[in-house]
Amino acid sequence: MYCTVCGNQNPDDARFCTACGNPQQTETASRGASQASPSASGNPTGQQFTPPFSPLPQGNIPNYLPQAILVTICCCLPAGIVSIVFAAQVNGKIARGDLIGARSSSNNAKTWAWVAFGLGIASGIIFAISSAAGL
Amino acid sequence: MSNPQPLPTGPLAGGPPTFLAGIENRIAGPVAQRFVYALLALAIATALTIVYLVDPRQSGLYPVCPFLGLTGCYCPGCGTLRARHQLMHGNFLAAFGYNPYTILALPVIAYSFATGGLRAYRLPAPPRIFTPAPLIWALLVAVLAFWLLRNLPFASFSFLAPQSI
Repeated sequence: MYCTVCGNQNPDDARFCTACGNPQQTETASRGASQASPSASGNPTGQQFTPPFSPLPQGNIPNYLPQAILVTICCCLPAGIVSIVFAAQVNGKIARGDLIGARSSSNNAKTWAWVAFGLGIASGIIFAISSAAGL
Repeated sequence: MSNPQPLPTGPLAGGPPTFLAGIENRIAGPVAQRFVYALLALAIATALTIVYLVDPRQSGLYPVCPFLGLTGCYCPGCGTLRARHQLMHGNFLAAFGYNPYTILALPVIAYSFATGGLRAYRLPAPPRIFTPAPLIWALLVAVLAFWLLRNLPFASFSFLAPQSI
């Protein structure tokens, strides 16, 4: 069964999406829904081919662009630039429908934003100490 | 077909990820997420108060940018504190002169933080904005160009370096 929020394919008995963590319809709930729907017409596999209830909400795979911009301003540069690159990849892949790839880029964008943040703090502290010692 | 969307409060609470998605995945729970947002808001308010009261041009209170200190070159963020100080005193042009990038980026970051915070507290929030990928690539080029050009010793580009207008 496919996640109705991000489109990821999950085991049929999954209670939460393995990719985005959103709660999934339980089997009994989805069965009840297909019984209530006249379009199901008794096709037991019809559920697999039913598109998600609504068009995929594009904001559900975060691209961490604000964080990437923030770390290019405040922290260590190269890592922040890398984070912007991954942010662009996330939205490019979402636009092409490559949600698996978008999620992977999203994780990279998050990682690099944190790397930039950590490097920025670390280099700031080291520089402050060294300049204080040099005086 | 009625399919009520879950309240958007972060992945663990059943909604889409928010500004602090990276943190909340580790700390668990919307309560911790709210706590982090409140703490961050307090820290930001404190920092802004200090930057408002203490002029970065005159005080040695603030640390020098590590990149500037090590390489002697400006980074894209150099001039941010002076720009924020001028902005909070209503001198928009002066703020722009110190660092146009940080002034232009301010609405993006503020919007993201504010809407993320509203969602964390389950308050109605305006929707997330989907930025088309080409726009982000353009931003990347612009940041890299800004970084390079503001360090060039030509008078025609010196307006990009931190300066008072």
